[in-house]
Amino acid sequence: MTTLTLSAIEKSFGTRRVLNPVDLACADGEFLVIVGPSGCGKSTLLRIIAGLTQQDSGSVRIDGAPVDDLAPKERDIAMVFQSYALYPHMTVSQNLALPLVMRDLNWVERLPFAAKLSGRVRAKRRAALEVVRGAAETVALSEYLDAKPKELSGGQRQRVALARALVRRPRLFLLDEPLSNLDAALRSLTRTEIVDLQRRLGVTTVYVTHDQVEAMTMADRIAVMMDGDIVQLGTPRELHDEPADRRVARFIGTPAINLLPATLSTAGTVRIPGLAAPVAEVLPGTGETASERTVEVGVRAEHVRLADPATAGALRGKIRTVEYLGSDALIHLSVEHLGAAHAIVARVSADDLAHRAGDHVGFLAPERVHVFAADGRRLPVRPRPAHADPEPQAAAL
Amino acid sequence: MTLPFVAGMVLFLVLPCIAVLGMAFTDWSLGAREFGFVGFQNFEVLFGDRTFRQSLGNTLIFAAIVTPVSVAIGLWLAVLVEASVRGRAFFRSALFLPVVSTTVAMAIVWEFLLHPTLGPVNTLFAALGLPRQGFLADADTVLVTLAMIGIWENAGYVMVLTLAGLKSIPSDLYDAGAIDGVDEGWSRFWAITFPMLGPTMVFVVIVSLLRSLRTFDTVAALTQGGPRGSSEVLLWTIYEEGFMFFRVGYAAALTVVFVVLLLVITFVKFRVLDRAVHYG
Repeated sequence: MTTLTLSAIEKSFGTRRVLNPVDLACADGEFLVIVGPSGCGKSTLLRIIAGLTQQDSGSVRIDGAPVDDLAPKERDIAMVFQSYALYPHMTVSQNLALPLVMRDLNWVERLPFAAKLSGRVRAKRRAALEVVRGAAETVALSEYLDAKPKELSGGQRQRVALARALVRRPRLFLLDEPLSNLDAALRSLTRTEIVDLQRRLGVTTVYVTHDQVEAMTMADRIAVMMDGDIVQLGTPRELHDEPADRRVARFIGTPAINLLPATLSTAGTVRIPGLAAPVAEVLPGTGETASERTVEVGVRAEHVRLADPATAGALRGKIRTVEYLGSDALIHLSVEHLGAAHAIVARVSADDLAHRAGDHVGFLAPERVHVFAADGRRLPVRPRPAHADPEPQAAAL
Repeated sequence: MTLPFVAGMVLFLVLPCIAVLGMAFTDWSLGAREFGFVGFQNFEVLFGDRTFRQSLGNTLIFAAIVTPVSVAIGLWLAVLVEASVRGRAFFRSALFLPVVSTTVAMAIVWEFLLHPTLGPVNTLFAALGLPRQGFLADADTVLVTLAMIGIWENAGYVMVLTLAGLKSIPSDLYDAGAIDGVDEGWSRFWAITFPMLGPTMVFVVIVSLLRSLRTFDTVAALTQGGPRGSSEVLLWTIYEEGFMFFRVGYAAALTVVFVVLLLVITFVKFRVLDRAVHYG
């Protein structure tokens, strides 16, 4: 049973503010991913949890007890680094054993000849080795126990780093961009392995990444960080379907959500110039003002529906490129009335792919849109009665 | 492109070496019009020569003191300087000063400091109730005194090389260490810092050893091998034989022995140390 609670964590480096007061809670056994662009403060936050960086104010509690005054080794945590941080002069076995040896043996017992003199030390060393063997087996590295890190491939090194974090059975498992140095194929494989491992061990995990695909595929819950704030905390589905603001909407989902300029009338109706029908109506009491104002409409690529250019009430665009992805395809359009610089992306099933670059197409007002106020906040919209869209494609990640 | 370089190397390095090797088998004196080959006579004389044996012994003792002590001090200084928050640049420059300053000029300062009657060091000794020392003037202490100066010269050099080595240790390793329980003083030094400095240390030890075997300028400036040959070192003996007694053939033989000694030591060191060190 391990819970993690961060309350009002603040940190500045010199005059640069890295973390505004950050609050975050992680439930027992939860896989929490902190995701955000580089420089948003996510790694600093992880280092503060680990105790490698001291926060300016605020408190870190593990299982309810403050750990702010504890050294990293006393917090009973383990961390996997982006660079793996394996000790290059030690074998895999020695790398894995180090946390155990440091915890279970005092400095006299650690002396090289101590094991020769004392049976107790020998027993401790043997016990550590047993645990090391078990951990190596968990990550399928049993054959490499006597190898040095430089003899291993990137993926194997990564697994050594994971195993080193496992040997002590820590209360909390921290991972800092552990997949960044792997190639794409290995990355998606390791993604599943890490999630499996975490489920099996049930250890509370905080995972930091800049890659929203990792976040969406691995997390129980995701905390999106931007400019030192957690802007949204929720399940992958919540983040995708109900982004708190424009930044989250842009960050989550591939390809990035399309944004089109629109207007919000005093009555709460949202219209995209050039489209006959209104695209949405904001909920009463959330967005209406005394005068008409500019908003942005966000449409996910999978919700853009292409039509014949002659369709009445449709926007018109020209296809710039078609990205064929196998099961589906991404069509990049320039919108006629917005100028060539303004592209939007539509995802269509590859079976229906009848378009080529240079074609003129129309596209229709989609049913599922997000409306963002000028300050980026998402305005809740009233669901419109769905029509003529029998099978909305699932959000493909 | 490499031709001028190779030509230069042959002209200025290979040919002189061969010439020295050749001269070692002659009885040539500097300025003499003729000379004769004498076979291994120079070497026979050399190994029976009391001055040479003392010189060789002194050189080895000097190197045996200076190398380990200056490497240990230099390493300690580097770790200390690297860990200090303030004044890092100052300490780095101050401790490197002995390396960049001219030894002969600094020797004058040492001579004054260590003077048996006028030197401040002896004044200090007297004030502390310690017996006055002859330092450079006393046959019993001169070699140790020179070794102290050698350590002072070399420790800064070791420190600067080691600092560069310390910089190349990834900070992630220290972070991982802090979490694994290797987070302070000695355990951290032995588990991470020292092994990661391995390649630097091999280089530093060998360079320090060669520098101390080649010591010459402090001897030339301060003692000229005296008193009574007790600070005679190989390079000084070669200089004496070749340029003061003009026995070039004999000096060449000395040089050959000296160079062979350096090569053997370097070879053995690299072989032994390489095995114990992790690279990359």
